[in-house]
Amino acid sequence: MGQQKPFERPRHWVSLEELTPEYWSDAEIQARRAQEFYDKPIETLEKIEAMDKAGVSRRDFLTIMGASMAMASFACARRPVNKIIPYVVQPQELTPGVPLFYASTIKGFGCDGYGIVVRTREGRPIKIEGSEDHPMNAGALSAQAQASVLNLYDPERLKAPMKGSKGGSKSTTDWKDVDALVATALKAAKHVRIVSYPESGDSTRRAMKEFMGAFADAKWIEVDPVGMDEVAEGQKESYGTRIVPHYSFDKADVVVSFSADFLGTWGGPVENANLWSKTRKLEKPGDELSKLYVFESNLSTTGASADERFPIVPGTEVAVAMAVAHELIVNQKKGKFAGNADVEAALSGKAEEWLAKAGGLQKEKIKEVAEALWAAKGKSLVVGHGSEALQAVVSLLNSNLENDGKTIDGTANPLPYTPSLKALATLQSEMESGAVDVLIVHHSNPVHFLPNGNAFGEAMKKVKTVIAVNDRIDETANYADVVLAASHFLESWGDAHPKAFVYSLQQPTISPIHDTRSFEDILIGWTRAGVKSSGLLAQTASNPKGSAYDYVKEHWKQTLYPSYGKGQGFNDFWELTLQKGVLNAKIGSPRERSFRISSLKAAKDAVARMKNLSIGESKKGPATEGSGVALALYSTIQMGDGRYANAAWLQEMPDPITTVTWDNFLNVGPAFAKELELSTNDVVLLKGEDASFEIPVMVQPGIAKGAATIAVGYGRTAVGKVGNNVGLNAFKLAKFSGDGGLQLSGMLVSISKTGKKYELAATQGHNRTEGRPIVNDITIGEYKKNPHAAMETEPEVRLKKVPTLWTPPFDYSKEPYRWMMAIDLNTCTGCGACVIACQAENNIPVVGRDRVRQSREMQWMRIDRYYSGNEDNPQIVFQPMLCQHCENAPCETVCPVVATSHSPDGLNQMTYNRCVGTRYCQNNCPYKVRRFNFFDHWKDYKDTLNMVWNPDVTVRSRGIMEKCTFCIQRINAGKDHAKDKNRLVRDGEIKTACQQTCPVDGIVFGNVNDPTSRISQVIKSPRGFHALEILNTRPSITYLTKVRNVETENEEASDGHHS
Amino acid sequence: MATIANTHELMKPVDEALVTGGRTFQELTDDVARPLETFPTLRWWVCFIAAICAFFIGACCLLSTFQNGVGMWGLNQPVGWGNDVTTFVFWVGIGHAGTLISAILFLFRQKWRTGINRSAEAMTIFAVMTAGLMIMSHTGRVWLAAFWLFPYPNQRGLWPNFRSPLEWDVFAVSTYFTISVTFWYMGLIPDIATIRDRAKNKIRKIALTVASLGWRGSNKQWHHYEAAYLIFAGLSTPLVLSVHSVVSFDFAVSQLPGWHTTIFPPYFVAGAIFSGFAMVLTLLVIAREAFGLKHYITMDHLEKMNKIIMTTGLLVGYSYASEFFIAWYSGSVFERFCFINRAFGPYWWSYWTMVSCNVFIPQLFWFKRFRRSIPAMFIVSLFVNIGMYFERFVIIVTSLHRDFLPSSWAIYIPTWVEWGIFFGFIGFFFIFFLLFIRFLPAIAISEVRGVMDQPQKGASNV
Repeated sequence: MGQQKPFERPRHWVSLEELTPEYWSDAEIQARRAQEFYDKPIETLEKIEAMDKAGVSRRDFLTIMGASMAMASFACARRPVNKIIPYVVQPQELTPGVPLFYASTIKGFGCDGYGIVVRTREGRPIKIEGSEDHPMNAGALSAQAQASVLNLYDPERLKAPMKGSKGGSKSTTDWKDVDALVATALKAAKHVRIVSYPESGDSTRRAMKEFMGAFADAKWIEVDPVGMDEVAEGQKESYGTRIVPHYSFDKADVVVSFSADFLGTWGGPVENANLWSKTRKLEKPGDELSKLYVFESNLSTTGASADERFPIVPGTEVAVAMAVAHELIVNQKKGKFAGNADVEAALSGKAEEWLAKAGGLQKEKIKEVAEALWAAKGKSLVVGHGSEALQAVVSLLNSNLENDGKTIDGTANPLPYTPSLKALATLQSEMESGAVDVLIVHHSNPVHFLPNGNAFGEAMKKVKTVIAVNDRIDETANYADVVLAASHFLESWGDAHPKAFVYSLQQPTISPIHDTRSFEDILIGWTRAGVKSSGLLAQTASNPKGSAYDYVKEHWKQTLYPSYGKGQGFNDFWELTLQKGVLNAKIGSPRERSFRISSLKAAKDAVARMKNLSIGESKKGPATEGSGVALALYSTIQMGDGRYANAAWLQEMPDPITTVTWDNFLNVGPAFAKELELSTNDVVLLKGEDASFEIPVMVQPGIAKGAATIAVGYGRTAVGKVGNNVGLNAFKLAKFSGDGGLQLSGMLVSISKTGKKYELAATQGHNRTEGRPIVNDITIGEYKKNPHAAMETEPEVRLKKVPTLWTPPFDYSKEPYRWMMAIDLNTCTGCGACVIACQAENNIPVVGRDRVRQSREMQWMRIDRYYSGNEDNPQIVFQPMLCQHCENAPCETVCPVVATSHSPDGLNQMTYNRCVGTRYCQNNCPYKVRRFNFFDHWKDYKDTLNMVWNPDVTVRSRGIMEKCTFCIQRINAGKDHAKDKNRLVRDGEIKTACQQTCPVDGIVFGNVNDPTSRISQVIKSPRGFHALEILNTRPSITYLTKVRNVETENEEASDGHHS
Repeated sequence: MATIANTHELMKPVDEALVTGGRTFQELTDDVARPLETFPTLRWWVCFIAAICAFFIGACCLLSTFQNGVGMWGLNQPVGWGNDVTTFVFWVGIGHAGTLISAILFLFRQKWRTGINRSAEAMTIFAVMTAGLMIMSHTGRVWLAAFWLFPYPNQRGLWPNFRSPLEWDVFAVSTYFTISVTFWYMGLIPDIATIRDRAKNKIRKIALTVASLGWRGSNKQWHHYEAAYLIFAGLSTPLVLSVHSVVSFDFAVSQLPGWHTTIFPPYFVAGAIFSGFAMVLTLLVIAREAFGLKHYITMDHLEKMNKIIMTTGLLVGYSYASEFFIAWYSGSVFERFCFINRAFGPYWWSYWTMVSCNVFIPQLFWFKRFRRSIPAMFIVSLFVNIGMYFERFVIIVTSLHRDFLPSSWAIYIPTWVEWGIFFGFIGFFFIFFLLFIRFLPAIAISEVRGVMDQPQKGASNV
């Protein structure tokens, strides 16, 4: 900064101002310069709007005159005039209207570490898809992951850092302020604790380590209340390493699961579903099916996909597993542990007693399961979720069956599992004793998920300084002094290393919308402010412009480039990896591990404790020691642990099994409900050991007698307007201790009626097919005998040869394109990713709980769930239902204004701006897939939320009918792209949103007039049928019948043929 | 009316005179015209204010629907039509009675129609107006539907969809309205002239002069009048059958179980006549009391109407039975379920209301005592109207709420906004009807003269 010259009065001056020294000061000059060259038109307009009318400059005067002239001619315009401004300087590569795709990695959302491709328009991400190059998710994503883009634009995100008092109010401030505050606290701190969700990124882990090196006593605790702690602890006990194994479901012919919902919410469900589905595709007659046995307490999507499922009492998984192990090793003497005295001692006991406690399973079934497992030894898989004791038995079974090293990889690919919930107990006592100087809470929410979360919050008050890094002030951040506004993963640099053979990069796809920073940038900022971090962190911070980008890049240069970038310059390596998003290392080959028999002690103890339990009695008073209803807490696909409860799409996503939206409830089986005289929507008082609340009941087939289940992830109180006070916090009923971790299953509760009622907002009221030709499921025995069996079950409702009055308006065989879709019901797990993907792609609004109660939900795609058989243990078929694009569409003929028509390529089109809303088409649609906009729901997408709209799809106002369009915007984009290249669209170039995200690749879409396309082969499958075929609507969607791997429909499984 | 007088003699003598009390032409004119020339009574005002209030409530409800969206109603997926289309079909149906009386009974030379045809035809017109308003309001974007449902010239070659029954409705209802208005107005001209000649008030005289289109009652004019009347009657006759058949196609042409059935056109037409006559009865029982028109709208008139009500009621009852039989006979799981659901499902109460009101209660008219009892027939007519409203409700809502895929089954509960609109439209109808009987002759003076026993010496049309 140069010295200012002493002021000299100018010889000639134009205005009196020029005679003052202030006029010539740097500040003034800068200010005037800023006014002279407008580089951001929007700022100009803002200034114009904000300025004092008395001082209108000449330029502004002309602007206003011009505008008012224009506006005068707009006198009769109904809508306010909105200004659109073109780029003055167009960003590189960006053509308005053309999307740009960026590869990145998703963090959290149930898909942590998976590769994604982000579709951006005009500089903002609007949709994310799975990256096909990523070996773990192979192009698919879950429902939660699809909703992450909504989370980015949440208007209730923190826009700037805040500071205040613990448990009290907080006010907005700026980064300079909080940086100074935090730096002071950190520099003086000796005992620092950090709590976060699991971090899969190597660069962040490294930065954390380097940061923690600045303190005498720093610990980092990763927590995940619905994570794999139990499995990792069990693996440590049984095999010596604290890891989560890599499960190769695709290599398993027989899978047995003890309450492990591996297709829905357990351990990487997208990857699990993808692998498992490979064993379920009956593409040609002669293909084999794998067999899935599920023993579970709650009816999950895994149980729904099981070939045979057995409801058991929560907490008794270990008893059932022991029974299977007992049968296999002690009775049948199979496997390498047969004859081993220690093992036999551990497994000693009466299996009948264990089975009785579990809900009365039959011995013969256990024998069958053991035999099936043995017949597939080396090619089977046993998984479980319930307690560490269970894990020991599961590992015993896997080792005995020689699965370890074959279908279970515990050595080559898993990385150490660092999260530990138990460490929270230690932390809590440390905080209570005042031993913690600084607590940093990075996004995680122990106050919500710990059963006694308030005690944790109170303990936080005893910490000198609590710093929260979060995108909102949630239940835990409420107890912080400073809340640092965190960037979303779509706004941040980072990387991920979820498994040994996968490295991926995370790049921002939009610059932070608000004044937020990523966690790495925060660490760099603190280092810059004086914290004595070491290593690369210090190095990056020393550069005044150093940011997370530099850190990640340098980290990769130091660690991965030497091994994987040989022969390339680093920049080339970096750019290519960034473009692809993922770096695939060589997959190591797994080894078999040796099982530690001592780990079985826990199981033996657990089963012994169970002897004294009296399960199944509901008392009016609190559950007394050892008797009561057994409770299982489960996480749902849509909510998980409730982190994203403010994402309205997830709240409104119908639960796959119960189809309830917006609430949680107590699931009780029909027989038990009858005993307790309860029906759906009754409110009961649920009393646990330390908590009680009133909760509505859902009578849910498939839950054992004496058992009840509730979903966690609800009952948030500080997540935002959408998620607050939706449902009840079931975590309060869990049990937590430093030894046992977070126990979610097997607690005893009592249930008593209150007489109140609460209407749950379920999208589907009726559960049976009523003998109508909608879905069908057959057994493998029937299929092998006759692959067309599904088609010949009810001849009177199958259309053999149909006369038709109408000749089709087009001869489709002469057209270049004829779009059709096939959905394989055999692999569909009901996960609902397609529902949310469709909602994201097609600007589908959210209507809220009351409207769902009125049956006005707007999702174009729904998963119909049908039960069949015995209501205490039903079979389930999922049928995704969307517009069938009928050739003889009943909706097209009845629209009086031709708002819906048929295209030459087989699509049923919807012309939104022509629709006047007579709703005749909805009445005439037999599949009821048409959705009417009863209100202007789009108006709810206020504030930043409307940045999530896909510009290629019209946003519908009220009074307009809408429905699935087979993603016509994608079809048109694909056709244009092919036209540019002077050819037809190739198979796979156009993917509908639902098809693209399906983890099991169950939706096939394409051009049947292209003989090379996959769809033209799939529709010839003998399993193919059309829904409601007898109506002669000639739908374009072929469903492939579900084939269950049972020889015949036996008595336990059903009470007759598909009813 | 020389021809009529001759044929009257040729016909078998009617047991009771059509005009009782030995009325003369002058007395006829005076009786009919007097209510128009005196200040309306308190009774009229009370009714009129009540109608205005009801309409006001309905207008507010309708406005809130236009402002906020169809979501103000109880409609959902799958029930896309509920009270709205029920109200539409109800009012359109009512209109058919008037045209039957005016046109068909004219062609069948049923002289007793002359006492009631003017009011009945007025009722038709106002009912069709109400129905038209309802059908426009039920759409999601009324401000566009009002234009796009009609084929208007444009440079894009854009036509509405002529395959759609709703489009046929547009033509049917608008045709029905135009023809009814023209027919009714044309028939009114001699009577307007009669009142014109009696008018003392200057404004009345001018207004009636304009309205009567210069009618002088010359022979030539009467000649033209008779010919035109016959032509209009001929034109209107097919409308009685076709309009409601077309309205029934809204349902029959769809493929929903419970809608997709060929019995609908005759069933709906019979039902329309049934409910229309009941409404005419309700209105006339009150009007003849209030205006002292008992000599012109005699017990015989009412009894004949009751006989028609009973006949059509039996037809409707037969249709109900036939639907059930065919549903069973078809063997279709969808059809069978639909009808069992109607009788025993969540809407069983609407079904049984419909059956008792439409089938059981009109059976009272087998007995002469009830046929000729004013209180009895008034109550029966009210019940018939309620029953016919429920019939449309049953057909529309019970078929929609549980159709093919059980996963989309839901319940429809009309909201208070819909009920407000329903009552508002009743108010709308009554506003016009009350204005009609205040300003225009409720009985066709010239036609009744034609069926009175003796022409008076020196009588003219005045």
